[in-house]
Amino acid sequence: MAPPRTLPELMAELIEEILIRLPPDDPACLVRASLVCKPWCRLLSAPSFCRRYRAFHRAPPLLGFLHNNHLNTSISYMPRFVPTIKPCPFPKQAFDDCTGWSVRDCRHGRVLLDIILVNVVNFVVWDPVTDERHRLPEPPVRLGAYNAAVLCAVRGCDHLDCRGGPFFVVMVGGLRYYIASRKSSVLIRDDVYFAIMQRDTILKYNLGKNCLSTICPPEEYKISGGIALMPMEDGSLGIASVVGSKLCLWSRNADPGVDSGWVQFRVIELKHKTPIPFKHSFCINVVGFAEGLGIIFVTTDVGAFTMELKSCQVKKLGKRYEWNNVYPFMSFYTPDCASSILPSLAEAH
Amino acid sequence: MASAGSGDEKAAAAAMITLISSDNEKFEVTEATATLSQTIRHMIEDGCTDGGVPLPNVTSKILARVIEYCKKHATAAAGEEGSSSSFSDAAFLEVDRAFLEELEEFDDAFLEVDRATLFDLILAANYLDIKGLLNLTCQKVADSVKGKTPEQIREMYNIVNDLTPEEEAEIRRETQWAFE
Repeated sequence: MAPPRTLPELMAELIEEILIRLPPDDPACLVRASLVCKPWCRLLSAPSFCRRYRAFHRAPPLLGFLHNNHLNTSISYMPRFVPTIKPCPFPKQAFDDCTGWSVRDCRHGRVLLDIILVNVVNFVVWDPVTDERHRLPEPPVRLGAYNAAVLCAVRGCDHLDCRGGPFFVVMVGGLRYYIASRKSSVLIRDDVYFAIMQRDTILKYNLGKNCLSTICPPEEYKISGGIALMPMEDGSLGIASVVGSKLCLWSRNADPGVDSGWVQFRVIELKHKTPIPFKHSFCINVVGFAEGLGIIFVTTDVGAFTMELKSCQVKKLGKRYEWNNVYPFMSFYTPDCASSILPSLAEAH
Repeated sequence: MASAGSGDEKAAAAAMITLISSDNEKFEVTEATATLSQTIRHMIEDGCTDGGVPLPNVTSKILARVIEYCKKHATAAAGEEGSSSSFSDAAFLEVDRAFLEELEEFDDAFLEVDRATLFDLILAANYLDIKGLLNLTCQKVADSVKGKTPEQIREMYNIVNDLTPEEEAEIRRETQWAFE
């Protein structure tokens, strides 16, 4: 018989090799592990570990999503954060004092909200991890006729931990198009894309050149609309949409020399109510996309679902189906975010 | 060692490496198997493998398991190289998929060991610098920590809690959500 072995016998660097493999979409796991003993506590809240942990897992995990909850008693909305993980570090009541606020975009760990007060629009950027709210100066736009995006402003950033840094808010408005669509934007390299009303014309804003251009969606959607934008792995722009009972995925030919440029690269038949169940096919909508994770959000008259495009793996989020747009929130949540004491304990030794 | 014979046999013999465990047992493996270990790969490149490679940190019991892993994964690596040129061929893709599934099954069965062996495999994988094996074994331990309370983790791995009750209470108060 081998003598009993204990984990502390493994060298510290091997403990790190083990703990770095704890899953980022279960941040409670890292927090509980940091309460095992002082060496683990020191290791897990050390900035070097947290940096390595984020780099090891590469893409920030989906922790939840935001949507604008329509209040029965008025025409107002109230934002809601819905966790997709359990347990989740964020308080569900974060917006209890925020009647009239609504979510406009979410990216790089930041949530962009607007508050409409009589004739004035105010923007707030919220960091769910620290619960800090940053109110922005009043923008020069006409009420309602705009769309907006938030993104990290640091060039060459890997966006693994840039929440506290400088950010851009991109607003488009005041054009001959009616731009009040609430669909979330898509960022691909230096370009921010918005799907705008009417008929889902796509507006492209280039950050470097500070210029706007428009792209027509595929013929199929020119009349009915109903597309959701998504970035493709190869850096091109993608579209997810439902035609009849088919979920259709398109990508735009990245070659600017090629004209029309839309290629339908995948069709997922939902007719047999798998993988996504529904009662009436006209109630199937793609309502969001998690950038960097290849996950789309779909609502039907049965409920709300996420679907991983690569594996077609579907998860049910709930019975709610009135969400028109959801804004997925992706971020790492390492023990140094969870507690003010953990990092100080780590430093004390 | 393989005896000298025909030209083919000589070529095969030249590509064999002898590994010597801490308890002096000798294992003869192909170079393809041995070079899954970066440590051994560097020794081969430096030409210091004549007369065998002594591995004073690895017992024969663990070395036998490590070699079993490397043999299987060296075959997998060779298979990938062989089929990469015909990736467009659906039949080859099918074969690749079946092979990957088999490899996954092998890995799962390989990890069916007691905790002491698992730790020894981690130490050996680290010492021999075998990335795939280190990943596999460390992930197995990480999976065992998932969903456990600090008390359960301490008990599982005989870890002494050296946090003061005050420190522990304060951290718990701040991170209460993680225990719900």
